[in-house]
Amino acid sequence: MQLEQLTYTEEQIKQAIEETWRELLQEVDAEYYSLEEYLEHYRKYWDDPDFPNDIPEIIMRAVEKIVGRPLSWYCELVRDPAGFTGEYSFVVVDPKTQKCLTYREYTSDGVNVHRFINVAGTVVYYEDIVRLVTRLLNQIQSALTTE
Amino acid sequence: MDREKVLQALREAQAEYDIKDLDRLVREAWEEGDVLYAEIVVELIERAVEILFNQHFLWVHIVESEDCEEWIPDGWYSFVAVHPETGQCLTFFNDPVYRRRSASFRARIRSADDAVDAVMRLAELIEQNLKSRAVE
Repeated sequence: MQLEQLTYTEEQIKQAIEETWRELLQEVDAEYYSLEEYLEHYRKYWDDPDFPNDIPEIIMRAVEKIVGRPLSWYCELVRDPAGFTGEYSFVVVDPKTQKCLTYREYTSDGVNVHRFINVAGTVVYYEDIVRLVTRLLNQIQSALTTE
Repeated sequence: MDREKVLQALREAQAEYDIKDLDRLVREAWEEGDVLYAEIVVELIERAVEILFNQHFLWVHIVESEDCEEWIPDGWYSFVAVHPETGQCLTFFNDPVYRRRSASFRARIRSADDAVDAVMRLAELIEQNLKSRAVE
Protein backbone atom coordinates (compact mmCIF):
# COMPACT_ATOMS: atom_id res chain seq x y z
CA MET A 1 0.00 0.00 0.00
CA GLN A 2 1.33 3.44 -0.98
CA LEU A 3 1.52 5.66 2.08
CA GLU A 4 0.92 9.35 1.56
CA GLN A 5 3.49 11.86 2.73
CA LEU A 6 2.23 15.39 3.28
CA THR A 7 4.48 18.41 3.17
CA TYR A 8 3.42 21.83 4.40
CA THR A 9 4.81 24.94 5.96
CA GLU A 10 3.12 27.54 8.12
CA GLU A 11 3.16 29.86 5.14
CA GLN A 12 1.31 27.29 2.99
CA ILE A 13 -1.24 26.76 5.74
CA LYS A 14 -1.89 30.52 5.95
CA GLN A 15 -2.18 30.66 2.17
CA ALA A 16 -4.69 27.78 2.19
CA ILE A 17 -6.76 29.59 4.85
CA GLU A 18 -6.74 32.79 2.81
CA GLU A 19 -7.75 30.94 -0.39
CA THR A 20 -10.56 29.23 1.49
CA TRP A 21 -11.80 32.54 2.82
CA ARG A 22 -11.85 34.06 -0.67
CA GLU A 23 -13.81 31.03 -1.95
CA LEU A 24 -16.36 31.36 0.83
CA LEU A 25 -16.80 35.06 0.08
CA GLN A 26 -17.66 34.18 -3.51
CA GLU A 27 -20.07 31.40 -2.52
CA VAL A 28 -22.17 33.31 -0.03
CA ASP A 29 -23.56 36.79 0.03
CA ALA A 30 -20.97 37.81 2.60
CA GLU A 31 -21.14 40.97 4.64
CA TYR A 32 -17.47 40.71 5.50
CA TYR A 33 -14.46 41.54 3.41
CA SER A 34 -11.56 40.14 5.35
CA LEU A 35 -11.15 37.13 7.57
CA GLU A 36 -10.04 39.44 10.39
CA GLU A 37 -13.28 41.41 10.04
CA TYR A 38 -15.28 38.19 10.11
CA LEU A 39 -13.42 37.04 13.23
CA GLU A 40 -14.21 40.34 14.95
CA HIS A 41 -17.91 39.68 14.42
CA TYR A 42 -17.43 36.04 15.36
CA ARG A 43 -15.99 37.01 18.75
CA LYS A 44 -19.03 39.18 19.45
CA TYR A 45 -21.79 36.98 18.09
CA TRP A 46 -20.61 33.35 18.17
CA ASP A 47 -23.58 32.36 20.36
CA ASP A 48 -26.11 34.11 18.15
CA PRO A 49 -28.17 31.42 16.35
CA ASP A 50 -28.36 33.62 13.24
CA PHE A 51 -24.63 34.21 13.05
CA PRO A 52 -23.14 32.13 10.20
CA ASN A 53 -20.43 30.08 11.83
CA ASP A 54 -18.02 29.30 9.02
CA ILE A 55 -15.07 28.31 11.21
CA PRO A 56 -15.34 24.50 10.69
CA GLU A 57 -15.66 25.01 6.92
CA ILE A 58 -12.62 27.32 6.82
CA ILE A 59 -10.52 24.89 8.84
CA MET A 60 -11.43 21.75 6.93
CA ARG A 61 -11.26 23.27 3.45
CA ALA A 62 -7.78 24.56 4.30
CA VAL A 63 -6.83 21.07 5.51
CA GLU A 64 -8.20 19.52 2.30
CA LYS A 65 -6.23 21.97 0.16
CA ILE A 66 -3.00 20.86 1.80
CA VAL A 67 -3.93 17.16 1.69
CA GLY A 68 -4.91 17.60 -1.96
CA ARG A 69 -8.23 15.76 -1.90
CA PRO A 70 -11.65 15.83 -0.18
CA LEU A 71 -12.00 14.19 3.22
CA SER A 72 -15.08 13.13 5.16
CA TRP A 73 -15.35 15.13 8.33
CA TYR A 74 -17.62 15.82 11.25
CA CYS A 75 -17.43 18.77 13.61
CA GLU A 76 -19.01 19.29 16.99
CA LEU A 77 -19.33 22.78 18.42
CA VAL A 78 -18.60 22.01 22.05
CA ARG A 79 -21.07 23.42 24.55
CA ASP A 80 -21.42 23.68 28.27
CA PRO A 81 -24.49 24.86 30.24
CA ALA A 82 -23.52 28.47 29.50
CA GLY A 83 -23.55 27.89 25.73
CA PHE A 84 -20.94 27.45 23.01
CA THR A 85 -17.45 27.31 24.51
CA GLY A 86 -15.53 28.31 21.39
CA GLU A 87 -14.12 24.81 21.10
CA TYR A 88 -14.45 22.70 17.94
CA SER A 89 -14.07 18.95 17.93
CA PHE A 90 -13.24 17.34 14.58
CA VAL A 91 -13.44 13.73 13.42
CA VAL A 92 -11.80 13.24 10.00
CA VAL A 93 -12.19 10.10 7.90
CA ASP A 94 -10.32 9.09 4.74
CA PRO A 95 -13.08 8.42 2.17
CA LYS A 96 -10.75 6.08 0.24
CA THR A 97 -10.07 3.70 3.13
CA GLN A 98 -12.72 4.63 5.74
CA LYS A 99 -9.87 5.00 8.20
CA CYS A 100 -10.48 7.54 10.94
CA LEU A 101 -7.54 9.89 10.45
CA THR A 102 -8.01 11.56 13.82
CA TYR A 103 -7.86 8.24 15.65
CA ARG A 104 -4.86 7.89 17.96
CA GLU A 105 -3.87 5.99 21.01
CA TYR A 106 -1.26 6.34 23.67
CA THR A 107 -0.34 4.81 26.95
CA SER A 108 0.96 6.79 29.87
CA ASP A 109 1.89 3.85 32.04
CA GLY A 110 2.58 1.07 29.56
CA VAL A 111 -0.58 -0.76 30.64
CA ASN A 112 -3.68 1.33 30.01
CA VAL A 113 -4.30 2.41 26.42
CA HIS A 114 -6.14 5.69 25.86
CA ARG A 115 -7.86 6.06 22.51
CA PHE A 116 -9.23 9.23 20.92
CA ILE A 117 -11.07 9.75 17.66
CA ASN A 118 -11.24 13.54 17.63
CA VAL A 119 -8.94 16.55 17.54
CA ALA A 120 -10.30 19.57 19.36
CA GLY A 121 -9.24 23.17 19.77
CA THR A 122 -10.62 26.56 20.71
CA VAL A 123 -10.87 29.27 18.08
CA VAL A 124 -10.95 32.91 19.10
CA TYR A 125 -8.28 34.54 16.93
CA TYR A 126 -6.73 33.95 13.51
CA GLU A 127 -3.69 32.28 15.09
CA ASP A 128 -6.02 29.71 16.66
CA ILE A 129 -7.27 28.72 13.19
CA VAL A 130 -3.67 28.29 11.98
CA ARG A 131 -2.87 26.25 15.11
CA LEU A 132 -5.90 23.96 14.71
CA VAL A 133 -5.28 23.39 10.99
CA THR A 134 -1.68 22.53 11.85
CA ARG A 135 -2.72 20.10 14.57
CA LEU A 136 -5.18 18.40 12.24
CA LEU A 137 -2.57 18.14 9.49
CA ASN A 138 0.03 16.73 11.88
CA GLN A 139 -2.45 14.10 13.05
CA ILE A 140 -3.60 13.28 9.49
CA GLN A 141 0.02 13.00 8.35
CA SER A 142 0.72 10.61 11.18
CA ALA A 143 -2.34 8.50 10.27
CA LEU A 144 -1.55 8.47 6.54
CA THR A 145 2.02 7.36 7.06
CA THR A 146 1.21 4.45 9.36
CA GLU A 147 -0.62 1.28 8.33
CA MET B 1 -31.25 -6.51 11.67
CA ASP B 2 -33.78 -8.47 13.72
CA ARG B 3 -36.21 -6.09 15.47
CA GLU B 4 -36.64 -8.46 18.42
CA LYS B 5 -32.88 -8.49 19.02
CA VAL B 6 -32.84 -4.70 18.88
CA LEU B 7 -35.65 -4.49 21.43
CA GLN B 8 -33.81 -6.92 23.69
CA ALA B 9 -30.57 -4.91 23.39
CA LEU B 10 -32.42 -1.71 24.26
CA ARG B 11 -34.03 -3.41 27.26
CA GLU B 12 -30.60 -4.54 28.48
CA ALA B 13 -29.19 -1.04 28.02
CA GLN B 14 -32.18 0.42 29.88
CA ALA B 15 -31.55 -2.00 32.75
CA GLU B 16 -27.89 -0.93 32.93
CA TYR B 17 -28.93 2.73 33.20
CA ASP B 18 -31.93 1.93 35.40
CA ILE B 19 -34.35 3.51 32.90
CA LYS B 20 -37.89 2.25 33.47
CA ASP B 21 -39.79 4.17 30.79
CA LEU B 22 -37.86 4.70 27.55
CA ASP B 23 -40.69 6.52 25.78
CA ARG B 24 -41.00 9.03 28.60
CA LEU B 25 -37.25 9.63 28.72
CA VAL B 26 -37.05 10.23 24.96
CA ARG B 27 -40.10 12.48 24.91
CA GLU B 28 -38.96 14.55 27.89
CA ALA B 29 -35.54 14.99 26.30
CA TRP B 30 -37.25 16.54 23.30
CA GLU B 31 -40.50 18.10 24.56
CA GLU B 32 -38.91 19.62 27.65
CA GLY B 33 -35.64 20.31 25.89
CA ASP B 34 -33.68 18.58 28.64
CA VAL B 35 -30.02 18.24 27.67
CA LEU B 36 -29.23 15.77 30.45
CA TYR B 37 -32.04 13.44 29.34
CA ALA B 38 -30.92 13.83 25.73
CA GLU B 39 -27.39 12.77 26.70
CA ILE B 40 -28.85 9.68 28.41
CA VAL B 41 -30.82 8.88 25.22
CA VAL B 42 -27.54 9.00 23.29
CA GLU B 43 -25.80 6.74 25.82
CA LEU B 44 -28.67 4.24 25.59
CA ILE B 45 -28.57 4.13 21.79
CA GLU B 46 -24.80 3.65 21.75
CA ARG B 47 -24.89 1.01 24.48
CA ALA B 48 -27.72 -0.92 22.77
CA VAL B 49 -25.63 -1.04 19.58
CA GLU B 50 -22.62 -2.31 21.53
CA ILE B 51 -24.76 -5.01 23.13
CA LEU B 52 -25.93 -6.11 19.66
CA PHE B 53 -22.33 -6.51 18.47
CA ASN B 54 -21.02 -7.67 21.84
CA GLN B 55 -18.15 -5.21 21.67
CA HIS B 56 -17.25 -1.64 22.56
CA PHE B 57 -16.81 1.11 20.00
CA LEU B 58 -15.35 4.61 20.21
CA TRP B 59 -18.10 7.22 19.91
CA VAL B 60 -18.56 10.91 19.23
CA HIS B 61 -22.07 12.32 19.19
CA ILE B 62 -24.01 15.53 18.95
CA VAL B 63 -27.28 16.34 20.68
CA GLU B 64 -28.59 18.78 18.10
CA SER B 65 -30.51 21.96 18.89
CA GLU B 66 -32.29 24.62 16.91
CA ASP B 67 -31.04 27.36 19.16
CA CYS B 68 -27.29 27.62 19.54
CA GLU B 69 -27.62 30.08 22.42
CA GLU B 70 -30.10 28.19 24.60
CA TRP B 71 -29.05 24.68 23.52
CA ILE B 72 -32.52 23.17 23.63
CA PRO B 73 -32.48 19.68 22.10
CA ASP B 74 -34.73 19.41 19.05
CA GLY B 75 -34.94 15.61 18.93
CA TRP B 76 -32.18 15.17 16.33
CA TYR B 77 -28.98 13.33 17.15
CA SER B 78 -25.87 12.39 15.21
CA PHE B 79 -23.30 9.72 15.91
CA VAL B 80 -19.82 8.72 14.79
CA ALA B 81 -18.56 5.24 15.69
CA VAL B 82 -14.99 4.05 15.22
CA HIS B 83 -13.63 0.54 15.65
CA PRO B 84 -11.26 0.60 18.64
CA GLU B 85 -8.77 -1.86 17.17
CA THR B 86 -8.61 -0.89 13.49
CA GLY B 87 -9.55 2.81 13.59
CA GLN B 88 -12.14 2.17 10.84
CA CYS B 89 -15.05 4.62 10.79
CA LEU B 90 -18.15 2.44 11.16
CA THR B 91 -20.74 5.14 10.46
CA PHE B 92 -19.31 5.95 7.04
CA PHE B 93 -21.69 6.03 4.07
CA ASN B 94 -22.31 7.66 0.69
CA ASP B 95 -24.90 10.34 1.37
CA PRO B 96 -27.18 10.54 -1.71
CA VAL B 97 -28.80 13.80 -0.56
CA TYR B 98 -25.63 15.86 -0.25
CA ARG B 99 -23.75 13.67 -2.76
CA ARG B 100 -20.77 13.27 -0.47
CA ARG B 101 -19.25 10.65 1.76
CA SER B 102 -20.44 11.18 5.29
CA ALA B 103 -18.74 10.07 8.48
CA SER B 104 -21.80 10.42 10.71
CA PHE B 105 -25.18 8.77 11.17
CA ARG B 106 -28.07 11.15 11.93
CA ALA B 107 -31.47 10.28 13.35
CA ARG B 108 -34.59 11.96 14.70
CA ILE B 109 -35.45 10.36 18.04
CA ARG B 110 -38.63 11.70 19.61
CA SER B 111 -40.29 8.51 20.85
CA ALA B 112 -39.41 4.97 21.93
CA ASP B 113 -40.28 3.74 18.41
CA ASP B 114 -37.84 6.26 16.95
CA ALA B 115 -35.18 4.97 19.37
CA VAL B 116 -35.75 1.39 18.21
CA ASP B 117 -35.58 2.51 14.59
CA ALA B 118 -32.37 4.49 15.24
CA VAL B 119 -30.64 1.53 16.90
CA MET B 120 -31.73 -0.73 14.05
CA ARG B 121 -30.49 1.59 11.28
CA LEU B 122 -27.28 2.44 13.12
CA ALA B 123 -26.54 -1.25 13.73
CA GLU B 124 -27.23 -2.05 10.06
CA LEU B 125 -24.84 0.68 8.94
CA ILE B 126 -22.12 -0.59 11.29
CA GLU B 127 -22.71 -4.16 10.10
CA GLN B 128 -22.34 -3.08 6.45
CA ASN B 129 -19.09 -1.27 7.21
CA LEU B 130 -17.70 -4.19 9.18
CA LYS B 131 -18.54 -6.52 6.27
CA SER B 132 -16.98 -4.20 3.67
CA ARG B 133 -13.77 -4.24 5.71
CA ALA B 134 -13.92 -8.01 6.02
CA VAL B 135 -14.18 -8.34 2.21
CA GLU B 136 -11.04 -6.22 1.73
